Amino acid sequence: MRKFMKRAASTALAAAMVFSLAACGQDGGDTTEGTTAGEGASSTTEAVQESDITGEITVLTQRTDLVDTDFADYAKQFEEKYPGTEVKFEAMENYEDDIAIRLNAGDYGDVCMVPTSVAAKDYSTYFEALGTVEELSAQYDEKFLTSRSYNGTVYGLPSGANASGIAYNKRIFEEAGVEGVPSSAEEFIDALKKVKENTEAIPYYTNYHDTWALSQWQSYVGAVSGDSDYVNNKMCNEQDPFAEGKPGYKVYNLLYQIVENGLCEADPVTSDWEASKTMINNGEIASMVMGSWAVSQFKEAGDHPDDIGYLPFPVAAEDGKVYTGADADYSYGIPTSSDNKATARAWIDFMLNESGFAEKQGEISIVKGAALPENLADFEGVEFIVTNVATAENDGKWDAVHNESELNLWGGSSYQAEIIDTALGQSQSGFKSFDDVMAEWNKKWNAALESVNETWGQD
Amino acid sequence: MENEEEKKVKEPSVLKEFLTRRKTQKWIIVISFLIVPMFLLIAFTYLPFVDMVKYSFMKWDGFSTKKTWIGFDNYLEVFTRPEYLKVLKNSIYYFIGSLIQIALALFFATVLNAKIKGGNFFKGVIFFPSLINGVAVGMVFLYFYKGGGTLDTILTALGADPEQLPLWLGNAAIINISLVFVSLWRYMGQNMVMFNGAIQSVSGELLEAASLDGANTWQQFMYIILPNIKTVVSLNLILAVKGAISVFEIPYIMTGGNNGSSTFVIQTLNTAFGSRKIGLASAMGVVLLIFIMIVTFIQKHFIEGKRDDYGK
Repeated sequence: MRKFMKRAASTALAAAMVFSLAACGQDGGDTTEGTTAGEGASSTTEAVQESDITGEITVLTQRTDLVDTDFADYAKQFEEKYPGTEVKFEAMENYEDDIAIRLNAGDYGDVCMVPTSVAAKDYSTYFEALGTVEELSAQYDEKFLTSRSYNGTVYGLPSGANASGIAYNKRIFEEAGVEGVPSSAEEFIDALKKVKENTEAIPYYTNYHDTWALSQWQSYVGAVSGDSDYVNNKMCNEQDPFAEGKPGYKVYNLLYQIVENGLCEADPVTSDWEASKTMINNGEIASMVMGSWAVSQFKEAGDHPDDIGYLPFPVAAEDGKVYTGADADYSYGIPTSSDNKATARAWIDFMLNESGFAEKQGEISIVKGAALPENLADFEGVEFIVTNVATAENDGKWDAVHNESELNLWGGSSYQAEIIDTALGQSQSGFKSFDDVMAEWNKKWNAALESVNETWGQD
Repeated sequence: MENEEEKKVKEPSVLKEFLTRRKTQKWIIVISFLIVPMFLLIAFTYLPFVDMVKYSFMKWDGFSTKKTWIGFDNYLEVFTRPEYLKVLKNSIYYFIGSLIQIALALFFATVLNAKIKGGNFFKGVIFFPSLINGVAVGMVFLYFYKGGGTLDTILTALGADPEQLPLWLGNAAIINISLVFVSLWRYMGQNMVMFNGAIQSVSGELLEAASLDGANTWQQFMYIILPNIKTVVSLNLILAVKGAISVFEIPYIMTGGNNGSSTFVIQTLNTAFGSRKIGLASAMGVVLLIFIMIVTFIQKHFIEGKRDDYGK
């Protein structure tokens, strides 16, 4: 009997060790150790007691490049301001893909960036209400509050807003003899042609290899439409949104023209994003279509930060004016599963109002009255336009139609790559012109729209 | 009273006897060793697989609570949409590449089988690529194939005209060939090592006798070595088919599947995470699995057939 007990005990011990090893594999993704005192259900805008702000929070972020530098500094400042708190970061390279899985599993930290893939009607399931649009518009610019709100309640506060424009190297443009800021597609192409003739630089770098870079183009459709309601409320109900003259057509046509005129790199397939940052900094590349979040990365990538400029996307809307889309960047949200919501809220408030994060990143701060960051100097006087979220009846419809169509415009897809392939004369589908590519996009969109319309509104 | 005591003494002893029986002991050992691997296998392979089959009959975007049952519609879509079948054309490139790979592996295995100087060194050199992480291989070859990159530099140094050099990845006509070469470079070592092992099992005396009779190396290979390692060769051929159909890593890392280098698995990934069509992607996964199962079945049948030839 003793022998049996001995064996049973050792087996059980071995099993216990193995299981605990498996559990060891989990990184510090646990939410809190110190719970907050008297934390009730979801807080909206009640004044939070200073004593509630304590304990550990885990912040999920897509900025893998900042965790050890800027974020570490902000964490220190925050911990000094609120003693007893501890801020931990978890950075994810493929944020959108990874966060979708974690949302599903119910483990997504105390502060995380609200994913673009969550439909507005699902916000309340996953994220805490942060206040109503009315309440928060006292402190924050109202047009940015609506991006992550539903029925007037805000679930995500944008970490900053990007003005969508084109990053360019000011020195190269000057050397090439480009005067002023191009204000139409033709002027921009001319400027690039001058760069090609008069300098050694690559006029435009497509970053084709990193297909997410192609998805940057999609963000101009709202601005080029000149209509805040176009994307989320009209395009999702429209047939042939990529027909000639439509904003979608005009935006991508610029890319086509650039490649067709030989104004891009010689071998787009092997382009290199990281290297391109250094190249635009030292003048080997003259321009790249990127959100304003990229500008600070370009500046830091080399020795000539002052050469990097940002100009408005030069395609005019139907009324002839050039608008600049201001899109909210990733928004801070507090997961409903968080155990330390008060501290999470304090962190968000700190990041927005005190850290200077948005300005350092070259983004527009959503705080009312904040000055435009330096790098947006070329935008002085430009009219910013924010794409409105969908109304209740169209909520999620753009995403539904877009997903059904498989165009994958926000992820960077082979459909967008096809524009470049066609311009280079090696279209995979035998297309000969830009119109062919757009015709296919229209076909897919129309089919998807029909399919979605069959069951839309029947929830 | 004494009877009860006797009984009390008897019951534990029956149990104890049961537990100390050889057969029971064997079972206890088997179960306790298997519990953890079985748990891992079920949790990380079988359960997700069952879920995947379940999702393949549904329409779902991956995290919303709405899942609609649509029966076999997803499967119908997989088989009727031309873009999915078009992508299998690229697999033919990989298959031909693996045939070349097997031929080369056989060649090196035979040559390195003889005791030549530095034989082990070369075996190591050829095998080494398959030990390197696939992502690293992809990155290295991106620089290799870049316009003006390593390959171009070497060719220019050898006298080629830099203007005439094609864009190895940029040119849609040859992109698949370039990628297949990377795959070949990476996996030939594995095949070679397998063949080497098989060739060493061929009796050296047979080969000696043959060379005494005047057979040259090629004849020795064709008539002595090859028939004796037929099993291993056919196994590798079937693996080559499987590999060609489910190729993913190298094209995904190097080109993302663009410019005509897409594969079935890349399409599955994009469908799942780009277009959020989990149901359709699951159906694609299941179709791939069934296809590979068919190939495996053919392989087993083929090899069993071979075994019968040897009187088993």
